[in-house]
Amino acid sequence: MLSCKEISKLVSESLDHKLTLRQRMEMWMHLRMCRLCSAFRRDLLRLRNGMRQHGADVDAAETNPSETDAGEATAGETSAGEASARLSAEARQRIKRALSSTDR
Amino acid sequence: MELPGEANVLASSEPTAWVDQYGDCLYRYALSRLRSAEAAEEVVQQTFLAGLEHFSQFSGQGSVRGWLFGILKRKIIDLVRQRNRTTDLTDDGDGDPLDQMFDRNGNWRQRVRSSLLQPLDPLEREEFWPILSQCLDGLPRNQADAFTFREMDEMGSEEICKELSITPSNLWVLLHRARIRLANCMKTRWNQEND
Repeated sequence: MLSCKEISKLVSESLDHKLTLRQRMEMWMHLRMCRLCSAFRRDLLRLRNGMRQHGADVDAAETNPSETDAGEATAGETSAGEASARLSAEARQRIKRALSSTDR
Repeated sequence: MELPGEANVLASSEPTAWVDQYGDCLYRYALSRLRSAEAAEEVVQQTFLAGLEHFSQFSGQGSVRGWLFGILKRKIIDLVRQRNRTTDLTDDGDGDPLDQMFDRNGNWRQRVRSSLLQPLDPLEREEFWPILSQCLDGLPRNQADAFTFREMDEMGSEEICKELSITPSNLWVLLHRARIRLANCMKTRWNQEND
């Protein structure tokens, strides 16, 4: 019998690679009986969804702005602080100087 | 060589116009991945410099913006590789985080049980990222970086291992530690804010 500690590792790894048949059976048998490990698995899936959603929001807002023109909600739903972050004036000047000095 | 319209204007006038036009969006993207203003400014600068140097290679297929983002993503991976090169991958500085979650027999510790059973699900989409972002800042950098590549960029395990020069089992340990800490941290913070 694997402990919750070992099962939690399998639960996490199942998000990254295909477990062996034996590992899968151990994990699912344990999860059927253990509320705590099931709760842990549910949290990891929520974490994954939230992170992917955020990544997709940033990508949509920044790399491909034309697609988000239709709905400003997309950009608005990323965190307020980050979505409105701007390159500071100093950084802007510094980068421009660096570009000019290598300009032909 | 005949350059297409948009590219021609930029190449012939001043590349510093790029900074005004694309600086902020490149910066925001970099900040979401690197979580450090200093590091984000650095990769944005490197991106513009590389863009200027290799501008003759820009095919004119697609936008300058998309082309610069391609360079930026590469620069972000390079920087993450560099900043994690000196860290021992398994060293968290404060011992194995799993020891705080499990007792000697590998059972969930009593004090984490109630928060474990409290689901993360009701966390609204707009409050999810600010909280997660703070929790990511509290992680050892190698864990946060591995987690970001895996979950935000949806990079495959093999690709991350190749980019960071680590073995799959190293990566799985990093990701497991990151996830277990993040889930725990998010509930703690969320409860604090809703008390």
